[in-house]
Amino acid sequence: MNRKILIVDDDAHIRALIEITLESLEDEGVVLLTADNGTEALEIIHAERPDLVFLDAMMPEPDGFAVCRQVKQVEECRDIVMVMLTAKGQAFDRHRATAVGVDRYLTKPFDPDRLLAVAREVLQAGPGEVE
Amino acid sequence: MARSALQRLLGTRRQTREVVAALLARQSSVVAIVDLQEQVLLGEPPAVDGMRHPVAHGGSLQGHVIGGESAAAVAGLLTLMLEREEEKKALAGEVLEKYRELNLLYDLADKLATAFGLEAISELILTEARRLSTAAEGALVLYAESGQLQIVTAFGQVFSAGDCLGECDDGLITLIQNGQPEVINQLSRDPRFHHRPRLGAVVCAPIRTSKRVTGALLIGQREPAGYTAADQKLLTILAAQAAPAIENALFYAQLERYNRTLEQKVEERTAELAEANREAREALAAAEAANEAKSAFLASMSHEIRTPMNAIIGMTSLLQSTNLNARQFEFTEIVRSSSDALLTLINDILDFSKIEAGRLELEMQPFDLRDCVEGALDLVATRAAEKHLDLVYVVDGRDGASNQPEEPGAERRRYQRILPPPAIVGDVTRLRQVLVNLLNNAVKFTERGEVVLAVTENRPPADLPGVDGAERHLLHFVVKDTGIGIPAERMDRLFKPFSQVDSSTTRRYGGTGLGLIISRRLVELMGGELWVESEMGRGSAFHFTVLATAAESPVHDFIHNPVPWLAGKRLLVIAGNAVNRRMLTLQAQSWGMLAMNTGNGDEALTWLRRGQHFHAMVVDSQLPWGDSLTLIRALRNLHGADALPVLLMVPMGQMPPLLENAGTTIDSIINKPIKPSQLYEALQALFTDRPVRDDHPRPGRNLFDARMAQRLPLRILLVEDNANNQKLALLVLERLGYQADLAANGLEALLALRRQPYDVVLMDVQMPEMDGLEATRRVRQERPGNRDPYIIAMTANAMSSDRDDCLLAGMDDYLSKPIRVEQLVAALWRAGGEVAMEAEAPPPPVAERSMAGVREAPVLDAQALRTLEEMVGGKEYLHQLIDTFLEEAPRLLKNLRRALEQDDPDGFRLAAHSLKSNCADYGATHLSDLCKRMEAMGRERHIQSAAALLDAAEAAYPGVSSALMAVRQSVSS
Repeated sequence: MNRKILIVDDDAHIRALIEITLESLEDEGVVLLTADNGTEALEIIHAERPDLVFLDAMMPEPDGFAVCRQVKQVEECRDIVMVMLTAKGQAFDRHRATAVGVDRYLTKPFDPDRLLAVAREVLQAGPGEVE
Repeated sequence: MARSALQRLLGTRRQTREVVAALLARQSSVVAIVDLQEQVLLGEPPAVDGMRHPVAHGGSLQGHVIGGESAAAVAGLLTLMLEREEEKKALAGEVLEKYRELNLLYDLADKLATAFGLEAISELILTEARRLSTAAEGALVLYAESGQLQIVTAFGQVFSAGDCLGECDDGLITLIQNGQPEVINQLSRDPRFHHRPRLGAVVCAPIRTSKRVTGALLIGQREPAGYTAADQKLLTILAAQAAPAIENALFYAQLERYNRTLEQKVEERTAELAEANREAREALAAAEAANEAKSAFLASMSHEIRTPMNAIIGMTSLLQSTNLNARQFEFTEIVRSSSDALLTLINDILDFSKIEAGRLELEMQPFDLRDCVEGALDLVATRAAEKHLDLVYVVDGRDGASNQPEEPGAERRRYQRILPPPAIVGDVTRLRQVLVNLLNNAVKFTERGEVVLAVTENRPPADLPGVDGAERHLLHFVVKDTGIGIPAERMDRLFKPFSQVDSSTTRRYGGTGLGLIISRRLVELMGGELWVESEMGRGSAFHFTVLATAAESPVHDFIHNPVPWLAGKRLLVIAGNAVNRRMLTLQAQSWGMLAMNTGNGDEALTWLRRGQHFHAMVVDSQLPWGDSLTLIRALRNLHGADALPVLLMVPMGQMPPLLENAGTTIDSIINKPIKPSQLYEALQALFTDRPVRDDHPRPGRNLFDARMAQRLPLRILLVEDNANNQKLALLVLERLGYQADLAANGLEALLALRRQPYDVVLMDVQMPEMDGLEATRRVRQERPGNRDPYIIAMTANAMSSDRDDCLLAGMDDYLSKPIRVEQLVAALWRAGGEVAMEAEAPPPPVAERSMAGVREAPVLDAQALRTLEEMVGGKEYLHQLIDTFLEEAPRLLKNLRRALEQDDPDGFRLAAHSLKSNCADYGATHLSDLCKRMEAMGRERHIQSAAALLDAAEAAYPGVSSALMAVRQSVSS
C-alpha cells in the first residue's frame, strides 16, 4: 500500500516548500497530499488515512490542535503520526500539545533536512512503531 | 528510481493532476499523455496511433501528448507548467536553503549560549563546520598576542591544536589577513601560495569584529576539491557567529588573567603587610623596651641630679645671707629663682618619667587633711596677696563653692554631703603637690577676683568596696577661680604633656607644661579623677577626687566640736568675699558661737544701731567698698561702752602700714587664707588671756638665726660622704651657730660616736664603706657611751620603702634632699625638744631613789598644769581629765609590766609612749622621762634591760598620783 503524507497549512508557500522538501519521497512511491484548512484536513484524513500529517498549529478554526484532538479521538486514526509545526519564538504550549495527542513538533522555518528525516523515520518505522 | 519531471508533475501531485485531467476531459481530441516509456500518465491508452506531440523540458524529452488538434496546445501547456514547476522549485530551493541557514544559526546560537571558554566555543564552531561541510581537514585559528595565527582547535591530519601557522602557510596567512571569505579549490595552482601548501583545497572564512580580523575558520582537504559558494556561505555564517562569542571568550580569559594577577598581587601585598606588621611589632617592642630603659634611667638619675642641685640652692642661700650690695643681691636672687625653677622642672620631669615608667609609688601614711591643704595654701598665699586675689578655703559638708545645682531629692539620694574625715591615709606630699599645682595655676591665670579651694566628701552609692573592712571615703577637691578661663577647643590639650593652652599663654604666664598631667596621674594613682570645667573670661574650676580610708584623727578635733569657752559668744563677720564669710560663720557656729555676717558695712552699722551686741568681730582689711579701719572705728562707737575686739584679716605677707599709726587698736591679726586653727587661736587669745602656744615656729624671712645654737645647744655630728654636701651642711650649721663635727661614712661615724657624745647625728643614707642605715643599726645596737643620739636621715630617695627602712633602722627623723634650711631648722628644733627633755632630767642611778626623795622634789610641773587648765577651759574640766589620767596610768603601767614579762617589745614601746605623753601633759616630767627611755628601749627591742626603768616608774607613780589628787581636791573645794 502506498504511504501517504498529508501537509496541512493555510499558507500556500509553506505547503509548496514542504512538498518540494519531501519530493524525493515521491520517487519512492510516497503520496503527498495537501490541505489548506483544518476541515479539509479532517476529510482527507478520514478518507485517505495518511501515515503522517504535518500540521500547522496556527490556522483559523479548527487550528492544528483541534484537528489533532479530533483525529486522536477516533480509534482507527490514533496511529496516524501528527507532527505539529509551530512558529519559532512562540511559546509552544507543551501541555496543550500533550493533551491533544501531538506526536512531534517542528519549528518554522523548519530545517528541511530535519523535516525529511522525520518523514523517513516515521514511514520506515511502520505503523505502530513510531513513538 | 528517479522520476522525470513530467512523471512527477502528473504523478502524485493531486491538484495538478486533477486540473490537467479536467482539461483533457474537455478536449476530446487529446487521448493520452505518456512518458518516455510509453506509460500512460493520464488518459486512455490510445487505440489508434494519433499525432504525438513532444513535451520537453530542460533540454530533454519528457514524454508525448497523443491526440488531435488540441494535443499540441496541451503539450505546450505542459511544457510551460514544467517550466513553472522548475522555477518554483528553484525558488523553493533558495528558501529552503535560507531555512537551513536560519536553523543552523538558531541551533548554533543555542549551543553557544551554553558553551563556555574559548576552547569550547571553538570546538563547537569547528564541529558544526565539519559536520555541515563534510570536509576532511579543518581548523579554527586566532591571532595570538605574538601576532602569529595560532591553531585553537583542529580536525584532520594537517593541523594540530597549539601550533602556529608558519612560513609554509604564508598563503593562508595572507588569505586570512585579507579578511574576505574565499574558496580555493586548487591551491597548488594559486599564485599566492608560494611554499608548498599543506592543503589542496580550502574554504576560508575570516572571523572578524567590526574593526579587525581576529582569526579564521578553515576547512578543506589535501587534494583539490570542488567546494562551492554554498560551502563558503556556510562557513561565513559560522564564522560570523563565532566572532562575537570568541571575542567574549577572549575578554573573559583576559579578565580571568587580570583576576589571577590581582589575586597574586593581593597575596604578595598581604605577605608584605604581614612582614611589615611583624617588623612594626618588633620595632614597637624595641621602642617600648628603649622607652622603659630610658624611664628607668631617668628615674634612677634622681639621686645624681638632686645632689648638685642641693649644693647650688644651699650655697645660693648662704650667699644671700652674707654682705651683698644691691646689685650682687639682685644677681643672687636671679640665681635663686632660676635654680628654684630648675629644681621644679627637674622634679616635674623626674616625676613624669617615674610615672610613665610606672615607678611612682605613693607613700601611704596617715596625715591630717587640713594640715596638708593649709600647707598647700601657704605656698601660694603670698603670690595671691600680691595680685590682690581673695584666697579662700572651705572644708565643709555643705560646699559653698560648688557650682553643681542640687535637684531636690535626686542629689541627696545619690550624694550625702558629709564632712570629710579629719585625717586620712595617703600620700600627703603628693596630695599637696596636686593642690599646689592647681592653686598655682589658678593664681597664675587669675587677674582679679578669688581663688577658692573647697574640700568635701561625696559618698556615691554602695558599689564602692571597702578596703579590709575599713570604709573608703571619696574626697572631692575643687579649685575654682575667676580667671581668664580655658577656651573649649583647647581643653583636650590641657592634659597633654608639654603643651600649654597656647604659646602666648606660655610667654605670658610661664610654666613647664607638665604640672597638670602629673597631677592627673597622681590623682589617678590615688583612686580618683581630675577634670575641669571652664568658661572663657569667667573662670575655671578644677575638680579632683581621691579615694582614701580614714585614719585616726590626731590633735585637731577642736575644729568641729563645740568649744566650751566660745559657747554662746556672739561674733560679727564682715568681709567682701561671700565664700569667706560663709566659711567663717559656719566655723564659728560649729564651735557654738552665734555668728552674723555681712558683706555690707552699712548693714553692720544698722545692726548695731538696732542694739545688736557682739563679743568680737572679724573684719577683712581689704574691704571692697572702703577703708576697714574707718568702719571699725564707727562700729566701735556704736557698740558703746563694751569693748568690741577686732580680729583683722590680712593677706599673707602684707603688713598694712596703716595699722601702725592709725591709733585704732587691732586685737589680733590673722592671715589670709584663713585657717580654722588660726581663728581658733586668735579667739582663744582673746577670750582666755593665754598666750598663744606656738607649736610650729614659722621662721621669718631671715632663715639663718645665728643665735639658734645659743637657744638650742646641740652637739651635732654630720655624716656625709660628698665633699660639696659636707661643705654646704657645715656652713649652714655654722650660720646657725653650730660647730658640727664631720664623719665621711658610717664607719667613721661609729668611731666618732664612741669617742665622744653627740646630741644629734645628721646621717646621710647613701654612703660608701658603711651606709647610713647600717651605721644607725650599729649605733642603736652598741649604744656607744650609753647614749641614744637623735639621728636624722638625709636622703635623696623619695620612695616610701626607703623611709620605712630609715625608721626601721632606728632613725628618729627624715629629711629629703635637697635639704631646705627651714626643714633642717625645724628638724633640729624637734630633735632639740627631745634632747632638752633628756638634758633637764639626767637619769639618776635608780637604786638611790626613795619614796621620800620623790615626795620632796616637785613631782608635778605647775606650769604644765596651768597650761592644761587653760587649754581645757577651766578647773572643772581639769578635774575630769585628772580622773581619766588616774584611771589610765595604772593600766598603762600594768601593760608595761606584762609586756616585759612576755618580752613583747612592741607592746612595751606603745605603752611607754602613751604614758610618756600623758605624764608630760600633767607636768610629771620625771615619770615622763622614764617612759621616754623605756620607749626607746622598746624601739631597740632590748626591753629586758629596761626592767630597772620600769621599777623606777612604778615607784614614781604613787607620788604623781597623790600630787594630782591634791590638785583635784583643790579644784572641787
